Amino acid sequence: VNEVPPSQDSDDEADDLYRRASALDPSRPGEAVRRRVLEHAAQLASPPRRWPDSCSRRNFSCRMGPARPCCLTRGHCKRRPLLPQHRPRTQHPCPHRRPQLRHPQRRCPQHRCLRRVRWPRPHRAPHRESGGSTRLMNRRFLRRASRRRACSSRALPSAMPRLSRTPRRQSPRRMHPPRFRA
Amino acid sequence: MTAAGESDETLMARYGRGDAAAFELLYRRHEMRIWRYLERNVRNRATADELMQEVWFAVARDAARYEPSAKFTTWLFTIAHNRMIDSIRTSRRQTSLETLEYEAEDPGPGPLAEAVARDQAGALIRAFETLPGEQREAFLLQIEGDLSVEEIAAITQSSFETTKSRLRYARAKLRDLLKEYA
Repeated sequence: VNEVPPSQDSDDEADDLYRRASALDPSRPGEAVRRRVLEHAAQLASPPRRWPDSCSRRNFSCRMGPARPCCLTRGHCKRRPLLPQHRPRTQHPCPHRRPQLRHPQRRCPQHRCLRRVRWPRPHRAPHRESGGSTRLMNRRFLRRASRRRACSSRALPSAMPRLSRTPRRQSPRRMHPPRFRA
Repeated sequence: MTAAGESDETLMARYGRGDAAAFELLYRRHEMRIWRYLERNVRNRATADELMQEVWFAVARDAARYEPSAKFTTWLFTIAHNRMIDSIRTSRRQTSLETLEYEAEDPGPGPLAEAVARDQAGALIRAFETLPGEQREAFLLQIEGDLSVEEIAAITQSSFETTKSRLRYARAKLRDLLKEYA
């Protein structure tokens, strides 16, 4: 506490020695780091894509694709108010191109019809009551279950748990430690 | 004014407008300073490389939002400090620089490093690494970043007096070590 505060000269001396030692230190950042950083920066610096000048605001159809007939059909079947759905045309429309999926990991890649794979639910007994025959409903249930199982086991074995392996509830008795009689 | 003579803030503004060459110039100007700051604090080359990349990615990403209200170096070293603290927290080994025990990452120095280590300069670098973490960081921020005591206090979120005493202790210890190695 009672030490005399160091002078400015000695501070400068320490700084100079440090700087000299630093200059001799051979360690440097990796070349790969430099390359990655500069590539990333160049990517971010590239100007955003713009619509060509020939596309004016008034020329709406140039930027927006035509209404899709399938949308109208679907709306018609469900008896909803029909509104034409326009999609931005970013690329040349190709009829053979597979459309982008919203949740690709949740779709079965083996089906080209883009059927959605449902998340497996815990096993339930088929619904018994109501007017339809139980036999028919059982058959439908089994058909759906086998389809789901096929999709989940073939396509996404690691991502999705199997239907048949739904953990069962353990009885509360097993949770208690065993009792010993004296 | 040539590109090399331009201020950091001007270069950042240029990069914000999409000039990738300005970023490269900035990177080359501050590369070694940031590298030394990171490497001498974390004392692990791989971690320092990783942090270096993260820091410069952040600079590139936030360039559009950068406002030259403060010095560029203050902003840059603030990012570096925050990334380093995050990295230390993520590693979940220690939560503060003071208690950080570094991995023994000395697989055997190369011929050049050995030559440097024999030198007084190399010895000084090794001695410097024995400083307590907070003192070492404050000293590095001042000497590598050319930052004032107020700026260091703001970056490390400590008071002016605390920062000043850390710097004083760091220099005093360095002088003692220099006497030993002289």
